[in-house]
Amino acid sequence: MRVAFLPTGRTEWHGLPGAFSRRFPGHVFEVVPSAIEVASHGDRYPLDGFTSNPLTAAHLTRPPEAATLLVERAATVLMDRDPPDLLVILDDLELANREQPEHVVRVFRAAVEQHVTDPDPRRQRARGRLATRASFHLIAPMVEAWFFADPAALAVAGVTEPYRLVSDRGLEQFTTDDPSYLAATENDCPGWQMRRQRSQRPKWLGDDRMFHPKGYLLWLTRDATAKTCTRYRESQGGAQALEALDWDALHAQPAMNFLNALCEDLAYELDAPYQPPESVVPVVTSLSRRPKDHVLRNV
Amino acid sequence: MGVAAAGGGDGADRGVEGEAGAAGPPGASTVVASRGVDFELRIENFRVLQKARWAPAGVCLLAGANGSGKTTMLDALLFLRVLFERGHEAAFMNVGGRFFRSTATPESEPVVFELRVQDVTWRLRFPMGGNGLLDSFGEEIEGPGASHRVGMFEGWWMLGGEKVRIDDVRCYARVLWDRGDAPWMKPLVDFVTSVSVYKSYHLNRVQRAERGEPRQRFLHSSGANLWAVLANWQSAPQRSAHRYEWVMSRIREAFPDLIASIEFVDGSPEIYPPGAGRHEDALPAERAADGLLTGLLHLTAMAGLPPGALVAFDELENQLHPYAIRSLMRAIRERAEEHDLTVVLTTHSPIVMNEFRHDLDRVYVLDRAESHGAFDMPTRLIDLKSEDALAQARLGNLYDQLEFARPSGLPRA
Repeated sequence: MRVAFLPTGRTEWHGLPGAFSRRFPGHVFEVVPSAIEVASHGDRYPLDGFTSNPLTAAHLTRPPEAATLLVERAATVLMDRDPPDLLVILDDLELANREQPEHVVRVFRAAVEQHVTDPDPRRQRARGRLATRASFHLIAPMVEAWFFADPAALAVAGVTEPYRLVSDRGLEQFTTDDPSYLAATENDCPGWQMRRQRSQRPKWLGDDRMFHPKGYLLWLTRDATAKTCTRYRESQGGAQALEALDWDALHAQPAMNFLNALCEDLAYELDAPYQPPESVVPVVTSLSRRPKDHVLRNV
Repeated sequence: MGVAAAGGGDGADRGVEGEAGAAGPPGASTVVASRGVDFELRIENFRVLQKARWAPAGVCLLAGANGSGKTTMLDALLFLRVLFERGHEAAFMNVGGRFFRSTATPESEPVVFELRVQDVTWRLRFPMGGNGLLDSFGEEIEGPGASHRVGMFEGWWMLGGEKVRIDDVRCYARVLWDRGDAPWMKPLVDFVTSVSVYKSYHLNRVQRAERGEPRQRFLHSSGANLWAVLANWQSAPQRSAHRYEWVMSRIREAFPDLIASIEFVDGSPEIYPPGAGRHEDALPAERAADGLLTGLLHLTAMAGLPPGALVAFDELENQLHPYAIRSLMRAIRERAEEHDLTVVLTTHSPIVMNEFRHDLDRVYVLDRAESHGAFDMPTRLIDLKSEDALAQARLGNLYDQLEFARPSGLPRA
């Protein structure tokens, strides 16, 4: 079968097909958008995610444009002449929304509802295709958390020094208590200080850094002289780490609930054997919690 | 629409740069072209267009990457009009005679144009080498019960039983039409003389408010006679069928903060912004915003068209704010509907493309990568991608995402 991912990160865009081809062998995994489109847009992500800022009740009536564009892209792919058997829209459950995954899903559902209730009947016709062939899943809080399950993957990403996690919380509740990381200041990055370009400010300087796996990864791969303060590259080391990820090690992590929801969904569609780990519980994106009025396969 | 009206017998030359248009054949009457002119243009080996066949109708969009042949397609239409009206030399000059033939085809293959309007077909074959015409070219006209085939530069033609010396630059179709004994050619003549192509306005000439000849009724392809046309229409509202009022009402909608009225003082325009009550508040043309002038040019071009005409705008969006683009698009559609016009727009603008969300069947793509060698260019977008898929997102976004009309050098997804 053919599965297409519609991710919101460059690492996922590069690495997911390889990673899931190993996880579910015998099936074809693709990504949207095309490589040509991504290449032509420079430093833009394949598509923007919509969870970077806190979502409010107002977003239920007016979903963020990024969510709308994700829905439009998904509908375009599924209504084309040779659609994939399954399309997985995959966004991060970023820290700004980590306490409200249900609301994130509600907002995305609202974006889908708006699309399929458009006065244009051609958009209305996408309702059935979306409800049967598209799923929406979350990576909590972001894909870099997965790397911490597998020291080999971290090494591929460029990490050479020891790291510290609060081990009993699980990677979807990623927490580090590395004292040097938590105490880091701008002075640890003279390369950035020279330019102070806001968009390249090291993520490990944020107040929520202890919960930020990518921030910690960037710290662990820091290069004080580089303008971005790191030698980590999402589309290189990050993508290669994801492709090489040890799935058994990842599933062995406690309470990987959102990952489990994704794998269960894929296994069901692909008719592949899958035994959920004992530590997981159903979450808002789990097939088992699918509402009767679902607008996508799982939400 | 008769030839005299279409060609601008009063000295104007709508949508073509150069001299006056065609004179009507003896006894030709002014007849409105039939609703929705049924025509098809076929091209072989003309510049980048090796094989093209196109029959647009209504307001159409022609999309393609740079160098895909959008402007060449418009030039083909222009070439046929000028050839008919002013002869082959002017026609070659008008489209730039060099690089006429597709460099991808051998010299043995001629450049071919074929225009069918209803049941009349006009076919031209130009055997071209690197240095120009290799030999005499052929011209064919076929209509109900009639078929003519001649070679150009042969010194004489046979018209019926009469031997006619070729003593001017007119093409055979024009000679035949001017004799007045081939009324069956009328659909072809009406159509070919209705073609207007606006590729790039000479804004500096518009800003200088050059004094044009009086009695200008239609906009030149350069736009340089804009003010003369508007002044003429303003002074003769009955004769000009309220064209001036239509232009002014639509330009106010497109640029609500920039223009309320235009007054002509000794032929020179003075542009009054909204709320301007004094003469000192008026702006001369040279101080007007480029976008405002461009909008006036587009609207004046549209208002000057006779019913049933074909007009093409190459990259209509240049200089225009998105609001103005959308407003002008509404006006163009309105005018096209009311006057049975065929409008061809070429564009790279996502904003213009988005305006075709409900007219996907009128979006054509020049994409060599999608071409299969036959006469399948331009291709209807809905023949390339599912209409339902295209409707899920804004057309401009899909173009931005390289879903169609991508540069031909890029690998497939």
